[in-house]
Amino acid sequence: MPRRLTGSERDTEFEEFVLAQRGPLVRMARLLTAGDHALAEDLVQTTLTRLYVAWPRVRRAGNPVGYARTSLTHAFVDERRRPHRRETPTDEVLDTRSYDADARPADAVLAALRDLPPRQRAVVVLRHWLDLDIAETARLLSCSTGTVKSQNAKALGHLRAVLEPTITPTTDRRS
Amino acid sequence: MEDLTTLLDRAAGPAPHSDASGDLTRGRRALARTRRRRGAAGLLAVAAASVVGVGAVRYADRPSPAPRVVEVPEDVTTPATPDASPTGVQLLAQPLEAGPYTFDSTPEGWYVQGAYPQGVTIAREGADLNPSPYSFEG
Repeated sequence: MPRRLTGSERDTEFEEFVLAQRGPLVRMARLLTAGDHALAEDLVQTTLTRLYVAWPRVRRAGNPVGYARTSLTHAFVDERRRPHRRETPTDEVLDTRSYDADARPADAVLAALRDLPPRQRAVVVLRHWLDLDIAETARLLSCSTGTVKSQNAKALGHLRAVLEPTITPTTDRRS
Repeated sequence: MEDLTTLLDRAAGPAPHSDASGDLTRGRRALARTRRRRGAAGLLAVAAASVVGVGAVRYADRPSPAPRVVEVPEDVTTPATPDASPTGVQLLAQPLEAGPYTFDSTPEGWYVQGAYPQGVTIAREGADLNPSPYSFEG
């Protein structure tokens, strides 16, 4: 039977994890929120709080980074489902010319991400920034690999339409 | 022309300085809240189990319901009814230890058949019982 974790051991291990992984999690959250730094910080705080509470189970599973990424992605998707965050339909049709040609490419990418529904945005971040394969992305999003493929195709189609010729969206290199 | 991965990496911005103290404080508070909630839920479960246990003893102590008066036609012979003696249970003013629970009174002639976190079963001494300590049936 595994030894029960003491409070100070939990604190020490959690602190080490936060010092090493908080930065990458904040960067991931910034992409998920399409540059909303305040919301990104909120999501990371929520994620790390859940992680601390579940720390004994997390360390037994042996993949705290994976747990944190999953928790962060779910926190983001859940946050976007809340009524006050829900997007409202508009008559305005997305116009590629609305992107400032002189804006920094990174800003243009954030603006393009903002137009994507939460799950498509999450797929872009997980697949094309974290470089996760389809199976792992599906596991993180708790959906099928087919859903990941279709969401990825839609997201890349949108990014291509609004960002070309600024960027070359990475295609599905892996499965 | 740049690829999407490079642009996403740039769009994510620089990693902020990591300070764990705030996260540690929030985590400790959340853990304390969780433990308080679990403790309250556990107390509720114990209270509910105690009520069930005492209720079972009281139910056994209840006198038999008054017999219903039924008009019998004259040409029908009434079968002889056995004597319905009340099955009274005497409660002794001494605590009854039953696993994680302690009851204020002890039913005389009964013993604890099964005691577990969700409840307690008691049985009459010498009764022909279901061998399972968690069974409510004899």
